[in-house]
Amino acid sequence: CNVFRPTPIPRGSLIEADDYNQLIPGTSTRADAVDLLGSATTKGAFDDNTWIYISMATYLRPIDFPGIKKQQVVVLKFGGNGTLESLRTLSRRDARPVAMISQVTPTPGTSINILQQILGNVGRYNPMQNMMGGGSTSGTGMMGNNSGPGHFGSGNTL
Amino acid sequence: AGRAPAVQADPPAAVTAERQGRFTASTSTPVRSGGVIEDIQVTGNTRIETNTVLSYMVVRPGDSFSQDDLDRSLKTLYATGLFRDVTLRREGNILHVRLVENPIVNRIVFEGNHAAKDEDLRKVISLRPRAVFSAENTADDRQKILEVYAQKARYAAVVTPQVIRLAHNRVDVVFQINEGPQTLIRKIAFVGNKAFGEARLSGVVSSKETAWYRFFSSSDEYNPDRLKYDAELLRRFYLSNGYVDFQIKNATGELSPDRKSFYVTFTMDEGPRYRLGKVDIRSSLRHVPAKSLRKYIELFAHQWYDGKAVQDNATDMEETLQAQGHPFAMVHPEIARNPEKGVVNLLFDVSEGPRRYIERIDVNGNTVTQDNVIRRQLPFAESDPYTPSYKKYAKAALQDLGFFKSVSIDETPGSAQDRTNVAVSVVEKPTGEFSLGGGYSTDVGVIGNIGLKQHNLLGTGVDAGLSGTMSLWEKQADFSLTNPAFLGRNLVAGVDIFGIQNKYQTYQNYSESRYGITLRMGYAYNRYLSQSWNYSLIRRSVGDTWSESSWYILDQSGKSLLSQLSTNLVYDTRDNHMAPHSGYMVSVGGDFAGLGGDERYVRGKINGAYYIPLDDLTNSHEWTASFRAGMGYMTDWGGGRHDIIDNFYLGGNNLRGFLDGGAGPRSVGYAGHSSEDLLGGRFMYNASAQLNFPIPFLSDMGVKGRAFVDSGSVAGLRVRRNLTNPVTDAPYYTRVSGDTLRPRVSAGAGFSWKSPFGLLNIDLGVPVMRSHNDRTQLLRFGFGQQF
Amino acid sequence: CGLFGHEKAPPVPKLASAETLYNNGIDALRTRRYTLAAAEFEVLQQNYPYSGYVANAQLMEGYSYYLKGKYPEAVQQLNRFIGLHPTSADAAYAYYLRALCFYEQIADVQRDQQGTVESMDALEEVITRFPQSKYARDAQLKIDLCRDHLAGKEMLVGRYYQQERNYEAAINRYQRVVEDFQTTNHVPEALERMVEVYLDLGLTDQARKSGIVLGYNYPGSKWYRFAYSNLKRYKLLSDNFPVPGKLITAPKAPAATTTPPTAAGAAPAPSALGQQPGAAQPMDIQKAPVAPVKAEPAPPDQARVL
Repeated sequence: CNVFRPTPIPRGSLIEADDYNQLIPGTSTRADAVDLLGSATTKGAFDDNTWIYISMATYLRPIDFPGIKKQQVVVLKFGGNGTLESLRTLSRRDARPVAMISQVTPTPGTSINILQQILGNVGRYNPMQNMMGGGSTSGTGMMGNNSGPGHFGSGNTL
Repeated sequence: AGRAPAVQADPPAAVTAERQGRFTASTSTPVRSGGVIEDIQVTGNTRIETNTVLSYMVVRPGDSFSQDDLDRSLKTLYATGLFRDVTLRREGNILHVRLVENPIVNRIVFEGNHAAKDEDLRKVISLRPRAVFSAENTADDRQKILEVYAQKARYAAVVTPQVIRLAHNRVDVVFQINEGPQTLIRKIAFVGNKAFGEARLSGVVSSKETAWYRFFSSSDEYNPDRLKYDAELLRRFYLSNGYVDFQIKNATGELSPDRKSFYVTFTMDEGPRYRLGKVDIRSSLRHVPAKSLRKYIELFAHQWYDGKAVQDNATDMEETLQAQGHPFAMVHPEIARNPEKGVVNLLFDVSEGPRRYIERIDVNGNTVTQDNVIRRQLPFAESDPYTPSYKKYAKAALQDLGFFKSVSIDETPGSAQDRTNVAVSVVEKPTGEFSLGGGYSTDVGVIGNIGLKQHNLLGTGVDAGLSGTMSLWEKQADFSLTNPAFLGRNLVAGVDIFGIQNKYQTYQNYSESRYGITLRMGYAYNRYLSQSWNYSLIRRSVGDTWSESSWYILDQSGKSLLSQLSTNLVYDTRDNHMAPHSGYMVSVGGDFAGLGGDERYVRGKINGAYYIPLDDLTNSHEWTASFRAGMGYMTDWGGGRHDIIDNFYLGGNNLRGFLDGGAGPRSVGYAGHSSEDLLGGRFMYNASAQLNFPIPFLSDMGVKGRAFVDSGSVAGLRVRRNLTNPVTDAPYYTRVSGDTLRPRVSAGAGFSWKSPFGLLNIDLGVPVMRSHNDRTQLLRFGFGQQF
Repeated sequence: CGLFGHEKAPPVPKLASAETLYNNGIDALRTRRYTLAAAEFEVLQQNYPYSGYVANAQLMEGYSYYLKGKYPEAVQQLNRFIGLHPTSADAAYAYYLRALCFYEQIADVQRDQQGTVESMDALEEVITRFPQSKYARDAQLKIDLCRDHLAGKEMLVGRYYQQERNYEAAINRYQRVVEDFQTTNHVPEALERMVEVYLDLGLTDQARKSGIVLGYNYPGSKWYRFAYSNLKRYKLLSDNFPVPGKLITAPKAPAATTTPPTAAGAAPAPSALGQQPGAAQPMDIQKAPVAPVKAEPAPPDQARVL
């Protein structure tokens, strides 16, 4: 039943086939592209004449990272004078999946030491004066989590 | 040695004090231009060094005398605010600069202020001790103090600054304040109201006439902004009652001659009352036909036109469309009046709004919480569509974390026309709970506990807790760790290690100890539905049973190992978890014991909770009605130990007014085994209705009240040896009473108070329907201190 | 009620002549009693507002707050000194000390980088006002470290979005690092991540272009090796890709990055910073043979827009 089905979240620029099909290489200009598709999601690497529109839909997957439901890329290449030279669309099949390298360039800096964190935000982060702090006020309070006599097993209360 | 500044170890050479303080009285003739300035003589500066004055001057020795240069240097010297008077005079080619320095403020004192405390006034004024004194600052500080008093509705306040000269060119500033009486609203009058009486309308308006019981609230103080807000309240009230052409002519407040009270009058023109005619939908949204939206309309023809209901209907429709993958959908209700027939035709125009994408998301203010802990709560990423309903959801999600005092999301224009930069600014709050508390809890007696919980360990969002409880009858220690996004995935992982020893001799004739570990894992299917799996391995031992206790209890003594796998599916649309105000929650759970261990049973549970916001009735956000219900059933398989400690128990938290576990089957005492032991049961149901409400005067001290009706019952005897047949179990025969499904009902009230010493909870429950020897407990309270 | 006890009340210095107060303050500084030192200088300023020591007392009071780690008070005190004595000989040192106060409060990349932005502004002020002073060189070095820190934050957010498969968000973050933070040592990783994301999206020509720029600028870096193997797997390599790891005559990859001082540790006195290895020459990225990189450097405010 559809209660389990995750709703896909639209990502990136919302463009559809009959939007970008109106662009004609050779005549359309940058302004036409902006009117029809909005501003580009990203520009090409080191090249401002290549406009890339990325339109995806990701959905929540249990125990894993989000999954990709729809992945569509539209690449517009403009000539020096601003007219559209070529238009290319790529779909999920053209993707070349690559594993993400886990190594990271180190970035030192002051991190919070454990003791200071465990004792709460003492010191200069936020001084102690707001003693009230968080905690649930929905009436359970201290007594809420006390299991009391007779509840020996785990999970036998409603 | 100490890290002295690298320049040189000991202090720089003592600055020689220049003393030139001679004054030459001279007429201030305008300076003749032309010729070169040979030297500049600065006189009259005591505190400020000459080269500081020279550095501010525009002219240098060697420049020519020019009128506008000199004017500019005059202006810059005044701009520094350090001098009361500066005169430039020319003698031959020497420029004489005569200065009179502004004195330094030594102390600032407020006299006669009761309504506003010194610290509030000090925050508002610009003068500071040891800062430079100037007449202008004092004048605008006087104005700022008057504004503070205007906000406290004391329009008759008078503030006179006094300046007392001291030696060494220093001054004391004293603000003498005469606050005068509070100007309260004496009378509120309405002109032009035909449809609704004065009483009904003064209920709608937030300003109130002054009355003796309103000494505490500020709603009877005159405040121009509140008058505008009241006009808006009136407009909305009339609009939601069919008066579409309603207009407020004007809303004025006149001050009485003795400046003590205000007379407020609202003059209005109601216009005719309209009914709702045709309701129609027009959709220009791609792939969304108008017909498919008809099911969202909850309005009927011929009812009185209600502006508020139309607007709510439009926003609900908009939100459902935006959630179904049309982020830019916009629903705009258009009305066509027809005054003769008094009918309004309604048209919902569904269209696509301007496309807006996010260029960049910046998280600010997170001094403790890590960046991705905040970022993963946002339903949008960079370069994604950006809509108001996403923003509302993001703000709610961040507040629900409980890590922040305040969360604000605001936009600034991006590089392109349809791109915006989103700034998520949070203010952290201490998320540590160091509960060094004491208290008396009617279940476990005098209780002392020490607990260290940190809901945001190292800012990673991990919830860690180490707590121990010592009380007369119970010792408990548990360590728990929960990571809501394990390895960054959609995976909640947690572990609890706990040990409990209790011996409630007063109403239970055995002591019990449990040591165990629970591994928890969970994930979300979508925004509302999530599932969790737990595996618990617990060693339990029951001992020193009182000789007089019933056979059922005596069978319990000894050790048992429980190895249980349980799962729980929860569909939860509540707006927030700590104090839910709207939405509902349904959960279905199952426990399977028998993967090893001595216990073999299967237990099913189903729970529901429904929260109804009462904003419309009480037009305040504080009132919530909630209904909770739950049912559980348990069957055994494969001949496990049938220990009663795994049964369902009713009382205490889930049935306030009854002792913990006090309702349900119990053994009946007889000679030799006189004690009545609680045995719990195989099947349990309970339901509770609760109304949360603010207590009028104390709500701003953090006091929240609640009234409740609890009901429920537990039945189905489940013991190791069934000794209820007098014939076959002769020597051990023990009758059982209270094993009926007849509901026990209790009603009562309680309140929770976020006191400066900690969170105090008190519940008073009165059993209304009970079986004759259930054990009741009228008062329950507990107390814990967080930081 | 302070649960953790508060410092014992600081000893109130007794009234003495300006000279003795000043020297007591300096002695207190030398023996690490910073609170007493600050109190001594405070008393001096209150009672002898016109003695010659007031200027120095203000400066040394700021210095004692700095040593105590009370950075907000130190900055306030130094601002007062700079306001009253803009042209004194120690103004350069006061500006520098103020910049150090902000520099100490830089939090790690996971947290709000407001401290980094403030310290970059303060350091820049030291350079613009006192370009020849001995502090300017060290301030420039610290600015590069701050910039490196900001680049680190961009990369962190980029990696988070890439992991969540929001390629549309990740690519822009990596491009911003390559364009606005060219002199930091996060650029090789940014280029490699761009290759990864472009391949995930199927944009093979962009991936090859990024790979070539990475190869020419950082031939010896491990990131080029990763990109090289990724491109090789999809047979996207061509002859103008340098072989990774081969040492071209150019000097070895720049020395390891310098680590900014940790918050808890006392800031190394400016002279201590002098011994660090020569600041890495800013890598010249224009060498890429393919389309030239956008030449003009990013305007300073854009770099600081977080």
